[in-house]
Amino acid sequence: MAVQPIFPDTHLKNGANMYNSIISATLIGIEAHLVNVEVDMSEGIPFFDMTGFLATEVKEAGSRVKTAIKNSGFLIPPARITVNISPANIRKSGTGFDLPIAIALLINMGILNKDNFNNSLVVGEISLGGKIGPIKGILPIILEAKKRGISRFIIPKDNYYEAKMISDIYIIPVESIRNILEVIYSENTLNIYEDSTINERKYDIDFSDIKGCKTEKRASLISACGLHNILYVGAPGVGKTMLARRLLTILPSLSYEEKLEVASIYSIVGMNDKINISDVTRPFRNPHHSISMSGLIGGGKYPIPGEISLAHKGILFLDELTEFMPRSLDALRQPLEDKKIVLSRTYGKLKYPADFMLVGAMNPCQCGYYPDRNKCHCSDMQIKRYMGRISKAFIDRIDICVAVDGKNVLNESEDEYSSEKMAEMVDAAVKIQKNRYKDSGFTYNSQLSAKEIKKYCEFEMGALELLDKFFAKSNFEMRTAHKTIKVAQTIADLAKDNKIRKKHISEALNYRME
Amino acid sequence: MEDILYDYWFCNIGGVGNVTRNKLLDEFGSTKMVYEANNMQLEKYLKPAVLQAFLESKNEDKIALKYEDLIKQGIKFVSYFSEEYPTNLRNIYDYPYGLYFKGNMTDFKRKTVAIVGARDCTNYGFEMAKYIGEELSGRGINVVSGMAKGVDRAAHVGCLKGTGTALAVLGCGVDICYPRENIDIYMEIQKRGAIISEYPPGTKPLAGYFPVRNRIISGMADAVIIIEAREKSGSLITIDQALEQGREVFALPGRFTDSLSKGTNELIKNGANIITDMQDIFDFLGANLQDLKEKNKKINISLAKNEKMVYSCLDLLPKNLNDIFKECQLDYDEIHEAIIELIIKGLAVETSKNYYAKTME
Repeated sequence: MAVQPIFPDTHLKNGANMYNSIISATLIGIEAHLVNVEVDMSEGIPFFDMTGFLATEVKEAGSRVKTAIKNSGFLIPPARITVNISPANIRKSGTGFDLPIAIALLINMGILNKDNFNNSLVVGEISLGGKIGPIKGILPIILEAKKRGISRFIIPKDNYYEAKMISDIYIIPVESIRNILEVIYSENTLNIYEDSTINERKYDIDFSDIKGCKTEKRASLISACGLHNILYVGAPGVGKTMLARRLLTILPSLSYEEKLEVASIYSIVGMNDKINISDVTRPFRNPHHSISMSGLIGGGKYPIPGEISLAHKGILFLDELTEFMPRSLDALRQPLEDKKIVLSRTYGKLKYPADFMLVGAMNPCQCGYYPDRNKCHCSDMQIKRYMGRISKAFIDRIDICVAVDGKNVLNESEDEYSSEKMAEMVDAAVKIQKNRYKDSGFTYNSQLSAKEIKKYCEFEMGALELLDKFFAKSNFEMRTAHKTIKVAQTIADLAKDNKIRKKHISEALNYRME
Repeated sequence: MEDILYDYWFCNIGGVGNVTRNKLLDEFGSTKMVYEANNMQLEKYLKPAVLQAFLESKNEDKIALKYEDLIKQGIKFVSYFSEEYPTNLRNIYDYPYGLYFKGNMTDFKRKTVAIVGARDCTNYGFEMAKYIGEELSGRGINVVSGMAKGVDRAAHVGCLKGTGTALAVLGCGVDICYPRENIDIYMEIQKRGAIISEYPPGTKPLAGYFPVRNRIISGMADAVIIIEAREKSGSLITIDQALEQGREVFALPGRFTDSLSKGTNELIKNGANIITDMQDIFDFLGANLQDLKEKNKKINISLAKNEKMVYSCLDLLPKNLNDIFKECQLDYDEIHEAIIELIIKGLAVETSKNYYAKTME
């Protein structure tokens, strides 16, 4: 490509120092931090230096930028160039600093006007030829900047589709260094946010695909209403996975903020393939049971979010639960409580959200057919040992356990449980919960603590006594009782009953996990 | 040396098994005579290596000390020549010369019934074994079984509920509880009956010992009841031995499709007695057996209408919640409530997740 060189006329007159800064951002975990990219040009022996607690890929930016500017037809004058990215106490990583460095240099060189970048954030990677490529994590960066009052964003064109999910901002998508000059002066800023609050659940699977299985569907419905973690137990091939996948079709729909949270996570791993915010749905993640601990909770040398974060606001489905490494499963315990995961590294703490609903599936024994003694030869000891692969502490975090029977389903007639009808019931139950917990900072029954149970749950006469009587028969544990009450509350909400009655407690007891 | 010590010594010579013991006794007449026999006479029956061990074992002090140890452990040694030796066992072909008892000694003149069956039994088999054990024990009949998992355990549990004597014949030393999870009945049987073995205390449970001890279970009994067995099952070996010993065999029938009833149904086809009523076995045992159980003990638990409906729908074989829904024309919350009430009242159990069965109480 033949490019006409441009010789700037403002070349370091009278030895005056030239200094400029551009706002950009770096990511630590899911959190974006705004930084200033400062570039200084002064007279002296030509030299290029970069400072400011930089990761290797940021340090490499210098060579990339210099070459790209040259190849775009601009001549960098021989000068001492110092780049600093402040504040220096935050580690900078990622490839988004190429573009702000280039722009600051071009301003210093007098090619761009400083005024065009006031109150603007710039990110983007540059190739040697001057093309601007996409970066990961554009959504959290823009969201954080918007919070800090920045409304103008100069970003790679390939990131434009993601960025337009956010409302009330001006986006200037750029393709190449030369392209910047064209669009920046035209003041042709874009604001193409498409507000689509349509919350249609569109799936090509449906609960009505599963015939029979009344208990299983009902338990799924309850778990969706209160976002209770659920475990399906059943022989191979009875439809545990089918149920789990269909659970997604009835979960409460996401709010705009929640959608942005979900999209943000996919943005930082570069997996955002959604074009409109309305297309963002609750994710469904089903990692294979050979997954490592860092694969599940996040981590690695260059830390990335794990499956629990990719399942944020959605379902983490662990099929063949007993086959997972016990260490991996136990690592889930804390995120299940805290709804986030914090990874500690020498340079700081990385925080990823992990507010997921756990759905497990497992066989009742090694051969998979217990209690069908015609097929199952497992001894009680073997069955116990099989169940024992999952730690007690992990089991404590599962509210609902249901057996998947799946026999005679072929000649079963249609029943009332289709995804559409179930979703309506879920929405109604969620509304009741939202109303009850409106001042408390949480929404769903599964989030009730022991203290809050006392505060919010109302019982019919004899309901608690029933619980006492039942646990007098089996081994009582406070935690199991609390879980039962939480589930019973959801069942009551589903029945639009303002009190937890004996029948609700009874049903919850039949789904208890021990 | 006392006679019992000779017997004890005779049962504890390394390398001397049942067959050799038989020959020696035939030749010399009594254990004391064997002890006093000279080498020349013995060479005919014992290989040189065994003879060496035989001679070394003839140490009176050692024998007395070991025997004392046994008493200290609360274990009683009973030889074939003792009066306490189980009567029925005397007339089988390969009876053991000595038995070790832990617990109370038992009246072997009373009728004794053996209950055998699969370890991985169904809930139905478990409940039936328990029920039959309890009914027999309620009439003062000794119940003997092998203290294994499944049917054996159920038979002991049932027997301990009644007044009869529970007998457990082990394939290891009587001081070892095998399998370990049966420790509760192991302790209870010692109080209410006896743990029995032909192996000296400290013998580890080796697979080879178990089929051998089965002959003692059937040998001690007047009749053998088989609860559940697959087509090829260890319990069927016990039955073969029982038939050789001339014991009466009763088999609990099962459904055509149940693989755990294939073995028992096959036995019935081949001429075993079928047991469909407790009277079947009582009639065989003859003697005017009295129900020692306190009559009217049955607590008349009042059930609500829904509970009755659900209870009548339950079976000894566990049923899935979906099947209960299908059979009872009730709302799901009514069914849930009824089930929980039944569990609280002890009339139903949840055998595994969402599978419910009724109990035989």
